[in-house]
Amino acid sequence: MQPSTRLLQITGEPEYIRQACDFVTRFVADQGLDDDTAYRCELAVDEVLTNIIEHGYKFEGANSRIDIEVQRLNHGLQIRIVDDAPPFNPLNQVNPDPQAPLNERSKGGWGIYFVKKYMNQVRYELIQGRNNLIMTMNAPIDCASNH
Amino acid sequence: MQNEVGILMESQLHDHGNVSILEVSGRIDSMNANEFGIALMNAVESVPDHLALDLAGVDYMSSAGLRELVAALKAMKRKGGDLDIVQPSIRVAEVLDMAGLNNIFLIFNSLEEVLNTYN
Repeated sequence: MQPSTRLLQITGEPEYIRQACDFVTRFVADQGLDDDTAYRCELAVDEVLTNIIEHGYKFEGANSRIDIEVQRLNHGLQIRIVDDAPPFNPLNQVNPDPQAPLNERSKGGWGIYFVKKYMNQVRYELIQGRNNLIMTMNAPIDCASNH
Repeated sequence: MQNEVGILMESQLHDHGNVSILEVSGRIDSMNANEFGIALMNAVESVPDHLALDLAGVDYMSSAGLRELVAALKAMKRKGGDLDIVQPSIRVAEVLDMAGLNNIFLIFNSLEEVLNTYN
């Protein structure tokens, strides 16, 4: 029987993002959930960690710590990502506009937008000086209710 | 180990008459998006008019990959050409749609369709 909560700790360096993605997809699979759920969780974790490492730590996170905690809920999954970069709530960013023409498109902003699209709920908390992003996803996915 | 840069993506450029196809396969994320961008920009520089990006073999693309797609399209438009997308997988098509890139790229369902269009 697999435990219903698992924790991975990494330093804030890009080379650990794929390890974190593998960790999350393995957990989802061990819970007997479908590939689409695993994929969406993977993309969300990838985007959040990329933001933290690029913008929070500015690629200097070798001495930092990021916790990735995955938990099985009755109705789905919760993923909590905790980092010690300067306090920052990514949910306060203005959503990019999918209707924007090519010449008005800036470089970034899509990562957190995808997270909001794929997860059923995303919230931010600053706890003891650490950024907590808590994402919950209903699983298995009800395709009719997404997008 | 999966953590080495670049091992999960490959690309090849093929000429087909009036259109060149850049065939990319693997996973595109923040670890290798830069490499993907370089492959795209090299193709943009070497192709005169019509470049089509075959994404059939790409099973995963994060926003880091989309960033490179938009930069390459802008570069191709600046030189008066076009960059199209061919046969994205369901998952890649979904992220393209979410970001509204289906509105700014021409997306073909098959290689045959793109070759017939330009030749």
